Parts: sequence; structure tokens; C-alpha cells
Amino acid sequence: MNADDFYRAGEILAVAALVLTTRAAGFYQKNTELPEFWVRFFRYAPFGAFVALVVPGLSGPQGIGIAQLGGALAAALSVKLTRQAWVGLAVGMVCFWLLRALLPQESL
Amino acid sequence: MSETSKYRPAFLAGFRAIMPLWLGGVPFALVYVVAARKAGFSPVEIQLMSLLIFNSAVQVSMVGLVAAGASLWAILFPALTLTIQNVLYGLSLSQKLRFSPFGRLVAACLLTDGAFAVTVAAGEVVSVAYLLGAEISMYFIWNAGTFLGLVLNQVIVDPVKLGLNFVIPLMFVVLLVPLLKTRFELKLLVAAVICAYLSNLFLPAGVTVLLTGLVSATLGAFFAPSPSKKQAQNIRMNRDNDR
Repeated sequence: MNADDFYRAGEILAVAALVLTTRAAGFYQKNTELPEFWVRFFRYAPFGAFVALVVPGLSGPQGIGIAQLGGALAAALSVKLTRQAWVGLAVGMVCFWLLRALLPQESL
Repeated sequence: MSETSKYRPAFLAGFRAIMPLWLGGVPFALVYVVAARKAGFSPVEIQLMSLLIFNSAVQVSMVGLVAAGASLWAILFPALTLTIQNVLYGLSLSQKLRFSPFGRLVAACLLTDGAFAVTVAAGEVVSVAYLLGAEISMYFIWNAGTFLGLVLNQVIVDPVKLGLNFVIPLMFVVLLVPLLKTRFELKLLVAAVICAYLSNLFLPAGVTVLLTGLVSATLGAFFAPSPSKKQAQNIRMNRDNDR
């Protein structure tokens, strides 16, 4: 193992420790009722994180990518209609591939 | 009846209850493996992350951020925003169920959104064995899916050329859609998209995730509509029944 491998292992352990802390925090706080403000705060934090992980992935070389946007919208619609995550992933990828194949390169 | 056989039916019921989510777990595991291989993670590291972290959103975001050259802090803050809701789940379950010290430890280590949801949905019949069944079921499929992805990855030649890197944002679209239930959440989506877009122009990826998470959480905390009078009454009645 070289220094990079040790650093990578450290990163994995640090993230694992953080995730375990959030999982265990609630279990070891018996009879604590959070104020409504904090309940909402915790509920909406992942919402924003998900959005922030989507937005950069929708860019193409010329700004917003048409194929990426089309794929994302198709996936969202499929999940809304079927409530099946794997259907959304499959439809989104097929739509993305089709648009990428059909549209001229400069418009992507 | 021995101790083990007493808890077995509830454990198996929980194990089976979450099996419909396996359909989503396997594709996500494959997505994660493709993204991690592209980011330069070794097969051992990829499987180790599934064994130790066991959170699809955190693992996929982590490999994306590592690929973008993010620092450790820029990886940890997004991981925090993606898992902070676990505190709520743990609080809710610890008030509902009677745990042994060992049961509490295992339940805390393997808690997921899905396991919490099926346990709460099971209503009055729920027990610690049921929760552990659901959690272990998901842990099994997530790690089996990761292993399957590593095996299949030998066949896939160039993920980027095939456009498979697009599965990462797509996965988060799929996770986001079920959260959009009310008009307020649609407005919050618009605000979060603007925040993420502007932040992404000037700031590193990890900071963008943290900032957008905090903006959404703060807007949600201040402006999300309160439960209606009827909903609040139902919550109070359920709480009284539990006692």
C-alpha cells in the first residue's frame, strides 16, 4: 500500500464514521422531542443536496445539455408515473442515448 | 420456544417487506460501481465502502467529489447533509420500540430511509426484529449488488464513452422526485436549482452541495406549511395511543 491508498482508506473511514454518527445520534437520545423548526430543517437538508448533485450533471459543452436535460425530465416523469426507481433510471438513460445519437453534436 | 425462533417470524416479515426496494437497490449499486471505477477506486475500496458506509447517495456523491479533486472536508459536509435525516429516524424509532443494547447498536449501524419507511408503515405489529430484518435485507442486497457490479464492470469497456457517467445525476433525479409532494416543495426546488446553478459557477462541488443543502433546510424550516389542524390532531392521537 502506498500513501495514496492510506489516504483513500482514511477518507472512507472518515465518511463511514460520520454516517454512523448520524445514524446512532437519534437512537441514543431517548425521550427527546425536537422542536418543529429542527424537524423541518433536517427533513429538507437532503432535498437541497440532491438538487446540487443533479445540476452540474445536466451541463454539456455548451451550457445546459439538451440530451442530459431530456434524459433527466424523462426519468422524472417515469418515476412520477410508475413510482419505480429502476424504471426512471432505464427510461432516462435510453432517452439520453437517443438524443445524443439523433441531435447534431454542436447542439448538445 | 427458544429466543431465536420467537423473533424469527417478525425478522422474516421485515426482511420480506423491504424486498420490493431491491429492484431499486441493484441498479443503484451498479451505478455506484461504474462511477467509482471511473473515479479510480479499486474493487476492494468499492466493496469496502458498501460494507462500511452502506448509503447509496453518500457513496455516489463521494466518488463524484473525489473524481473532481475535492478535499476531505468538501466530501464530509455533503455526506452530512445527505444523512442528517437519520437523526430524526433514530429518534422516532427509539421512542416506538424497546431495544436491547445489542439490538440498538445493530439497528443504528444499518439504518436506511427504506428500512425506516417499511417499519413505520407496518404500524402496530412492528418490533425490533422486524426493523432488523428490513435493515439486514437491504444491507445484503446493497453489498450483493456492489459485488455484481464489480463482476459486470469487467465487461463494460469505457463507461464515459457510453455516457454512463450520466447515471449519477440521473440517480439523484430519481431520489428527488418522490420528495416533490406539495406546491411548497416545487417552489423550494426552483430556489435550490438557482442556488446550485449559481454556486456551481464559482465554488467547488462539495461546497455547492453543502450550501444548497443548508439553503433548502433553512427555507424549509422557516417557510414549510405547518400540518393542518386535522393532521396535527391525528399525530397527537397516534402519540397518545403509543403511550
